[in-house]
Amino acid sequence: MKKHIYILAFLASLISFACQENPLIKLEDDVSGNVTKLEIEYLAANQENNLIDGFDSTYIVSTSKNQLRDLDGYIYVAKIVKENKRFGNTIKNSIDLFEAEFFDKNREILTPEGNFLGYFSIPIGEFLIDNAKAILTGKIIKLRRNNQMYEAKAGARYFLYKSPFLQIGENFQLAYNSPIYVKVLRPNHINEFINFIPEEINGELKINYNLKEFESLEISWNKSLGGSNLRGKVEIVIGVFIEKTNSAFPIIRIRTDDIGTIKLPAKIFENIRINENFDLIFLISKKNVKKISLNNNFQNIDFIAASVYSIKVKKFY
Amino acid sequence: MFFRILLILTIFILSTKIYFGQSNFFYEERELYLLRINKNENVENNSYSISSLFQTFMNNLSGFSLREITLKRYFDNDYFHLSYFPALSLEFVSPNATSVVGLDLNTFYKYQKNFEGKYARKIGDNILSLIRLANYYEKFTREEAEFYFSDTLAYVYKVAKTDKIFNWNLDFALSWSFIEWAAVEFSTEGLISVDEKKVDKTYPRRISKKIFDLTFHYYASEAFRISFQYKTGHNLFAAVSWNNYFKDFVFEIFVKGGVYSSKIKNLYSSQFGFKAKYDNFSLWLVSAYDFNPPTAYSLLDLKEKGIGELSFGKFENKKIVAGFSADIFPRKEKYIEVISFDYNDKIFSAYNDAFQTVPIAKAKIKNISKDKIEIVPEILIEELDENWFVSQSVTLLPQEEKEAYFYYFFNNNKTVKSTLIGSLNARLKFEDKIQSERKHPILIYDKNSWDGKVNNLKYYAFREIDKMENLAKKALSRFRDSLSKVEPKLLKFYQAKILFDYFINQISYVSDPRAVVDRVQYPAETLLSKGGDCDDLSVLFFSLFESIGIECSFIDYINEESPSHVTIIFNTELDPEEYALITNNEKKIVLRKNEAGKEKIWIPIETTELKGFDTAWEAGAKDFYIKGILSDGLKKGIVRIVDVKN
Repeated sequence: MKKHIYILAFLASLISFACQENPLIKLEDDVSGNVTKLEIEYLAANQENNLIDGFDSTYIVSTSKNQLRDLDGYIYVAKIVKENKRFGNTIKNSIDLFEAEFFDKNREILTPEGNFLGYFSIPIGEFLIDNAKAILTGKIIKLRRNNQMYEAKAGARYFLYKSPFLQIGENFQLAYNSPIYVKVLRPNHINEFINFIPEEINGELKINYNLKEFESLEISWNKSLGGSNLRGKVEIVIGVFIEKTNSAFPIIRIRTDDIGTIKLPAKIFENIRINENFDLIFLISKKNVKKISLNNNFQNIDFIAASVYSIKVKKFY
Repeated sequence: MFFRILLILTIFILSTKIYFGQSNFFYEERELYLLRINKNENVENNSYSISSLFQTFMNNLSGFSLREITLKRYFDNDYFHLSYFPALSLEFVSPNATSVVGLDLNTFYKYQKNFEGKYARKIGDNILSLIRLANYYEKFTREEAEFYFSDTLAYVYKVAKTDKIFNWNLDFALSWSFIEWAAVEFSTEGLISVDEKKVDKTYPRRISKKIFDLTFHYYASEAFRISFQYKTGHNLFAAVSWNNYFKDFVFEIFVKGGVYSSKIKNLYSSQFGFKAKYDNFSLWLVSAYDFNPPTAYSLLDLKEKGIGELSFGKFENKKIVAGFSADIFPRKEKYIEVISFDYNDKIFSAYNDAFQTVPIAKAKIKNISKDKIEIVPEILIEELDENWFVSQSVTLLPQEEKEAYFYYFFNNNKTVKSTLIGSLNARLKFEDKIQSERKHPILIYDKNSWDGKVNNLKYYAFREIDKMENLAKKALSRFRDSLSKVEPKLLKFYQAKILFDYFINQISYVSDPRAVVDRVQYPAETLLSKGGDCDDLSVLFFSLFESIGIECSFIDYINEESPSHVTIIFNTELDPEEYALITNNEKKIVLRKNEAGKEKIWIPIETTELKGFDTAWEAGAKDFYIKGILSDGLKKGIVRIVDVKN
């Protein structure tokens, strides 16, 4: 009888304890210290974003939703080079862009399903960028649902734009490697903020094949001069542009050190499957981000000065 | 440091006072192998033992896990050991260099010992050789993000890519106790290491290279041991252990520490622990304490140097492991060696107290332990008894040899109606633990079987003496008148005469059936069957006479060529000079001295002479005179008067 009790106890203990795992031991990754560390964000996954005309025209794209909830507004100044590779030609344009929005945190923008997209934006006064006066325009957001585009008004936005073909606003001119002054004029208040537009950035794509199979894509850019500790981060946004609907979607954002080149496996692109013909858009940018504050309502504002290189290329796989 | 010195000193002081066996204190994975040639760990041959071990971590008490299940088997000089380890593992995690927002991507490295088989053989008294085959499992899991974007769907999810290999290690060990107080051990780890398949070299492997151990044990006393171990890779450590063996309880404390290389352990790491064992259960606690723990564990270090030990290695510091083990089929500790064992292979069930004075079995035993022990012999005949008969214990000093006797008793109320073959179970116990147990066939003769020894007729004669007393008294009461006229000194004579004549009329002589052994009827059986042979009739009248106080003995006429003959002789309690009161022929009487040394007249009776007392006396006296006296039978020993007492 005693023996049977032992055997039962033994079997019970086996069943109870056999499946328990030992605790994990955390290791510091000191092996890949010199290897590029990438931070990848899949923007299109489970969220709806908009991308206008192949470049980052709204701050919503640049900011993850968690960050957006904390922000009270943004000021975005960018010098952009657009490269369009189509039909064997390469067309380059230079664009200067200013945008600013200030959020009414009481008015959220939600999708019909109730997903948070952002906030309504409100005017707060007048803007002077260097000596150019920003115009106040409507904030239009584009929503993608079932591959259909919807437009929606979402308040007011400050805006300036200059390209070889079109200029909105007077005296608006940006320069690389230069300070940029932004004045906010409100009744009895003048706030002035300064930021610095980074050096010009140039991008290039190289497609690697292995036995005629698309294997990887190398994205390279001009590294900043100076030691690695002086270099900032580089941000690359990959999106698609559908000609038929004249709409663009950001899909992937990659943040990396300013190391000059990164290689992406083909699988990332192969999983982008759209029935229509589409182009791929690559936005490579360097940014100087400053935290500024206007008043009690707008305490946490990002003031971004960016240098952007935009490549639009026909789907190559 | 102060604490360490204090603890070591305390253990040292204690160890000088207490004398006991040796210890096994290497609570780590590579635990030799330590097949522990412990001198007091005498293990009975062909025994099995199974045990399980559990572990937990102080920082994760909920994670109690089963560490090992072990099956052991011992032969004379051979030892087999098979272990399965469900949770003897280390698992690491490091974040991936490429991170994905919203997803926590890591790489996992798991190293597990699956099972191990050991075979060891003793070579002579002092050398133990061992071969070990161990199977390890290494699993590397890298989590990656999979992304999908289509017209209608966009999502990202985590996928795990796993690469795994099994690794076999073949190793050897040798332990040599070259003198009483010291031993050296040599062992290898990863000597022959074979992978089942190639694995990505970017993953760290468990062992970076082969390791050789050289350990020196110094036995300061039986209880106290100091060990020094050198492992290749500048790894030296010292360990002390003290243990105390009580009767059923083993208590053990050990401390180990020293300077380790970072390949196996962290610098200055130490182990403290104790183990308590009672009966078949063991409880042990081991704490691993690192006096200078690393602030973080390094992936680079793991890649370059490997893991070292899976248990209590360099990746485990400041933790306590609690273990519990139970021997389900416990190994028997052996204190004695049985040199020889003798027993009676035939027993007569009529002889109920025959083995109360003469042992039914005896064993020559030797104390092979280092303690003074007390061994209790016990015996059981399965077919007759339910309980074991416990005989007097034997005390043996270390190395002493003695005989242990097994005594036995048939209960009166047990009757074996027909002869059978039974099982004699004999065992020797030390402190309620069986040290030796054996079983032998034994022939158990039925209640009427007799070995022909006249002395043993007493078992038949005295068994029913109460019943005979009634019958005798009833018979005598019929002759109350005539007996009342008899001179008192002749009372016994006439009582015998009346009884003989009364009962002999009812009986005829029937010889025994042909059988291997003689058969004897109990008195009542003879009266019931109205017949019997010489031994049956002698037993009947012996019983009748003795029941009313007439002293009686058997006369054994030994005949080597034909069946022996037995009659009875009784004491008339008449003095020699009074013989004329009963006969005028002095050859018809036999003078025998009583206990006081005074001669009395005894009368031999031939119980098979059925005509009557006088004739039976005549015949008995004639036989006795011719065979016993004239032929010198008494002197030669072929005629014996056998006195028996109940």
